[in-house]
Amino acid sequence: MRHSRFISSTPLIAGLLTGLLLAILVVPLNAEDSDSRYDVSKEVTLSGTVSSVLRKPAPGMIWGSHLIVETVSGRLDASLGRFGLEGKGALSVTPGQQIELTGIMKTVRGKEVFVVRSVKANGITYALRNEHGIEVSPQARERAAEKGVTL
Amino acid sequence: MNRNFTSILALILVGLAFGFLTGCSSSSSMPPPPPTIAITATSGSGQKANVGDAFTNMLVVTVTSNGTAASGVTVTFTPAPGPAGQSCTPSATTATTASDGTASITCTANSTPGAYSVTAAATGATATASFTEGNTAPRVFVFYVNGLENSASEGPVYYGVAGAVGFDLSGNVLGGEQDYNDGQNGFPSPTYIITATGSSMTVNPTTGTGTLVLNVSASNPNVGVKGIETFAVQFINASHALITQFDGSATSSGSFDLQTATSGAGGNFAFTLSGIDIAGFPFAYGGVFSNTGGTIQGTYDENDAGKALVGNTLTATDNGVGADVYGRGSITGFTDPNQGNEPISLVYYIVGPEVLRIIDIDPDDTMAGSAYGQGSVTSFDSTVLSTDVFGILDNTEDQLFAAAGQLVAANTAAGTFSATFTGEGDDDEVGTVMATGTPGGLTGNYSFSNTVPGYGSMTGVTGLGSIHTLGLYATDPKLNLLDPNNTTAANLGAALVLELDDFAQGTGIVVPQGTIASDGSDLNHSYGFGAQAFADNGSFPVNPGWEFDFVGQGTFASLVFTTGTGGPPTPVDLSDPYASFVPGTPGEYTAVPIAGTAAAPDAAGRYAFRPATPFAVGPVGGAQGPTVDFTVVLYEAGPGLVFSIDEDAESQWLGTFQEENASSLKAMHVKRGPLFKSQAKPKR
Repeated sequence: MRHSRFISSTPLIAGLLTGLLLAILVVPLNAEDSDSRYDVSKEVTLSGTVSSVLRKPAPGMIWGSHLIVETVSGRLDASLGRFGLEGKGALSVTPGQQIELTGIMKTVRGKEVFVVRSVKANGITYALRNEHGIEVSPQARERAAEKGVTL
Repeated sequence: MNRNFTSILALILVGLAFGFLTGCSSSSSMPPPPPTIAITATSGSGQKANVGDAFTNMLVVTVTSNGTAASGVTVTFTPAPGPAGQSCTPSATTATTASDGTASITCTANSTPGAYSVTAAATGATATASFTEGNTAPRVFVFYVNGLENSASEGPVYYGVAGAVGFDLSGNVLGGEQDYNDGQNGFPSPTYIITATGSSMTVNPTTGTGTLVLNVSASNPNVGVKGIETFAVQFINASHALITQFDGSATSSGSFDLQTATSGAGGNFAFTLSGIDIAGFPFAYGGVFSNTGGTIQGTYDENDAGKALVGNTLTATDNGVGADVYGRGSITGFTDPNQGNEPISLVYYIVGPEVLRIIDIDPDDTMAGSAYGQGSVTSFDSTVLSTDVFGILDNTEDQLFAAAGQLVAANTAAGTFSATFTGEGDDDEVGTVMATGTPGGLTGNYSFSNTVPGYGSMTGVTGLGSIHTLGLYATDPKLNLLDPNNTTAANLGAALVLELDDFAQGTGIVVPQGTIASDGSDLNHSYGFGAQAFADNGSFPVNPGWEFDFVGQGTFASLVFTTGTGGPPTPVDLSDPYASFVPGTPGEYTAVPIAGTAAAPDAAGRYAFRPATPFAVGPVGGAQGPTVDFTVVLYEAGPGLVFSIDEDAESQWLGTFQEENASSLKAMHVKRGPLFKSQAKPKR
């Protein structure tokens, strides 16, 4: 069942508005760490321009690779997880590229991070996590591709 | 007269001759049917004997001719060696049947353990008789590990290994077998044969630190290093060791335990399993089952990539070990409820009557874990828990968390199946420390089924990060979960746990806590220790893995922990194939020093290595190598068992310190290893 779930794209305008709303609402003062649960009901889709591709996290960031994305509401730290840029079928983006991110905003170690479930780039949607936030490994990508299912 | 007499005599002779000839003619035209010669194995099949010993009972056949015992028939006995060369030497290759139709030989096991057949062929018989025999090793250890394989084609992937290795009384490896599975990444079972040639184990009898080398190259030259697997071992006593793969092909942690039974996996059990499912996502199981005559029935929970399905009915078949001499059996009928009840093929190795190491041998999914007996207990109520400590670790290919703590049950009573608990815990989730031992900060409820013995759960858990719901599966209160052959120690029982929240699917154990000395003086002992650690992606993208493991020996003295007793070099083996310690340089490091001073414990038996001093590992890779400081917390179950958890932003681990039995180590029948060399350089 997991494999038949499609990630619907959101119109750009909705993404922009959501991103703006998110920037206003989700950044709490004295933010405490969220738990590790991925609450799919809080999922939003944002659009932006890649400013940096971090194959390893910078100090203070959560584990795995990251994108720094410029959105209409400001700069965003987008967590791709351990497998986001690894293996066959991995996401491939470069600075300056327009992308669309679906995920949830969380506070981790006192910092805001956008936990990415999927990235749409060059017309292709890359699934990085499942609906529970479990990272999609290269093996999972490969097996899904072999079976023709969408993660 | 004479002429007449002569004529009459001639006629008589002619007549006799005619009669004789016609009689002969009649006989040659209707010959009797040949007798039907049959041979059966009458007794002596199914025996086991230690290598080099004669089987107790003779191998006896019975030969019949047309259903009647046939004497004087020659019977030829021919052993058919097994794949490792296991066989026996017959006392004679031929034997002649006696008047009762029987013929027999004795047979002496050769030097290789394993099962094989001996055929017996009788002259004139078209079919043969067959005996199934088994050569056993005087001492067998069962091992299992799980961790992260350094797959050349796929990158880092989860893998598990379970097997058994036999030794003679001098410590030489006689052979063994193992199942290895990395789930569709090239190395699934069937069983690999461990050959005596090229296999060895050396152990320092003072420290208990050693090296186990297993040669499986004849079965698969691609695992380990060209089919040679090397493990670092840390013996706690003569029948139990911590183990980690130590050859750069993979890194993992597990247990190595003396086998005390090779058949009979019946009774009631609790179990947990963890691995990678058919879709490539992490999944884990926990539950309870009864095994009656091979019929397995029970109840189990599954967490598959965050989707938990609880209370599933378990119906499966234990196919037994058959002729296997290493206690390897199989279970069929286990299914994955989250994948349309996809069948999962399991193999187990018997450690003893109440402990099974289990591995999933399917080519496209993999798991490893254990089943522990529930003993004679038929009903588990709220008194299963009292004051306990726990440790939980995530699957290495999952979200990565480690948790440990103490819980104190309240409102327990015999016959009452629900209760509450308070306590304190530490929890590191992917480098984010979510709980740091706040006294009273951990709360929750738990309950056991009053109809399914030992099947329970913890719910409403708060104060332990994202961990809110756990499956809880009670074990025999007399069973040592970490060192199953050591039942004289404290901390026996109590339960296994499975994370059932949607963020991860870790597994762990809960064990009773004894009295804790307030100054930590009860830790003033020698310990074997080890841990399975997750770090921040190694030297990605060059070495993209995230796990390292270590085993070693050290001593606490007034809260000061040091490895080795006479200064460096020290007996710690650190497996770091993903270069978490020396950037860009993967390594398998020996003699790594570790030192630290813990603060005195709090009332829960929690020791913290910071802020007193960090838990310092290094220098790694030589005097010029880095020393890495870790924020380590201990929870003491008792002097015999201490859990350790690392809670740093860049790493986390769960491990144990287990009190060593020095006299037991000195009496070990294993090859003595060389004294430790100076700080070793990376082997790679």
